[in-house]
Amino acid sequence: MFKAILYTQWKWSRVVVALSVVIAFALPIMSVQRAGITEPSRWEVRELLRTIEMWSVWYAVFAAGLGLLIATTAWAQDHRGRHVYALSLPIPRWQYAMLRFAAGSLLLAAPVVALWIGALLATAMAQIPPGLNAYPNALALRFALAAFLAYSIFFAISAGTTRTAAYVLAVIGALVVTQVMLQASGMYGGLVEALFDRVITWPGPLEIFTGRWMLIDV
Amino acid sequence: MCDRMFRTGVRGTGVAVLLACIAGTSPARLEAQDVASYRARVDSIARLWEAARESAARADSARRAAITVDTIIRGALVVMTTPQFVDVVEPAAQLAWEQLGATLREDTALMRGRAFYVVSTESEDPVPERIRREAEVIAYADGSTFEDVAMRIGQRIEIAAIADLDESTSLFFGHHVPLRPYADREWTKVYVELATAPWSLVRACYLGDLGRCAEASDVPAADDPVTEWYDAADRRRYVAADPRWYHERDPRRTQCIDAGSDRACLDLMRSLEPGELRPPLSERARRSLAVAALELGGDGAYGRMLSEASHGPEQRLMSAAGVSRDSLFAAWHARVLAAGPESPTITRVAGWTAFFWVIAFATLAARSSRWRRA
Repeated sequence: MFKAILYTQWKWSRVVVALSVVIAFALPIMSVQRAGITEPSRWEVRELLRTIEMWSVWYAVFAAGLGLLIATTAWAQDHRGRHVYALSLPIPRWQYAMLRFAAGSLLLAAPVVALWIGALLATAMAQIPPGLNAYPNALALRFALAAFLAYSIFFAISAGTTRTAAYVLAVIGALVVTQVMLQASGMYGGLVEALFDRVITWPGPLEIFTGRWMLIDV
Repeated sequence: MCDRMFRTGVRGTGVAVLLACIAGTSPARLEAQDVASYRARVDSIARLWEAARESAARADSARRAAITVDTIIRGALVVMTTPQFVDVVEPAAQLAWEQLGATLREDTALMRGRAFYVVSTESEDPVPERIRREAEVIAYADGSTFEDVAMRIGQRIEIAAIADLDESTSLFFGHHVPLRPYADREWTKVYVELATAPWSLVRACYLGDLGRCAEASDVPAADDPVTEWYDAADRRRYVAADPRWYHERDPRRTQCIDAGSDRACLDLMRSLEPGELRPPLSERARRSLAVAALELGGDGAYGRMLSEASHGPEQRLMSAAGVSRDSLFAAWHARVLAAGPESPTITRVAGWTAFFWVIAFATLAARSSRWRRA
């Protein structure tokens, strides 16, 4: 049954997967284009680090976007078909959801591996100045964890009803409104910031997104 | 006449001349084209221009006199501005003074009175004459926050404070005294410099050789900087990186870089004027030494740095820090290493935490009530 689910999910998301494999492979290679000087000066080293840092933002954005696309694609056909196919299967819902999750995870592994190969190739080709180190494995691992995390978050939201999604949005909206009202009344206005801090710092779920996504660093 | 004018090259006013020529061809006008009448007309225009200029100057002066100026005084710091900018400038002056106080503590009393006139670049009011004489004008970009303005004031104070020090110390600090606390990102930049500089002295310094740190920052001053600061490989690298010899196409550059002649490298580097040869550690890194010295010295550190008894960067740094050279460099080195950026590697805890959240959200998806409440 897993094979059948994997096949259908591949059919629905093959364009996304193929495109993301290309992007994942190219991203690290494009980020080291400045790392070609044999004996770089202090300024050139700083410029190289600045360029790598600039590119590093895109890894996080790409991981989040990829997770979102694969997760929503996994459930899109079920929502459209009002879950008739799933209900016709002789398995409980949790098992069906896990099969979908596993199939999506397997598809997600392709761009992760592409990024890893791209990062290894990029650092092998680049002229890395003394004092700097390459971190292709760390970058690939961070990307993998971030992509799987984004995927699982969006998978959980997509697996729910429209009502669940509305609840999630309503909670976020209520937080923003409360923040605005507190600020307008001159009271403590850092509610959203405080909550956001909790989410992006350990042990918050999004902590993995906030580290240094550097392919080359000191 | 038209031919003559064109021949003498009055080309910039082509269209005007053409029109004048067309107008001047009428016989009635020809009589009025003599030199004397032209001179009279030019003189009358010049008189009109002079009168207009005087009138504008009087109006400008009246405007300057009519401008209301608010004065904000924080200790020895005097900041003036027009009422429309007080909302930004007043908290900026407060912040600038607090930042100075954080480094100088009680020594803020040693600061000579500094007066600044701070306005937005959008301001259309001219700077009053009295203010222009008494204060330094700081124009900040429209939309700046009070923190930005405080930074501008702080920078000007640091530049002005260099006048209290001798020439060699001024050169050492890069012409401004670091009187405000260094932000973490500034220390991180020094760390990156230490970790990535191509110079052998700086690399040894990064690895913990404090004597090399002192040499790389020119403490004490080197007798022969070319050989004491740079080894043969560094000298070749220095010559290759310096654009002046590239542009001059000096043959010694080729001998130094391509043929590997150290004599040529030495010749080139020794041909530099005193002060032109840069020490291996940058001005930023050397300024951070002063920050470390002021931090280490505590109360009275800035006073000791300014003291008449101290002369030259080494003495002033030691006096400010109140410790030996080795201790100062040890404290500075520890401070720089502590500011190293977070490693890109993932800690075991962070990795497992992310994995835990993946499982948690997947479990949430499995428990969804989609089919029961669709």
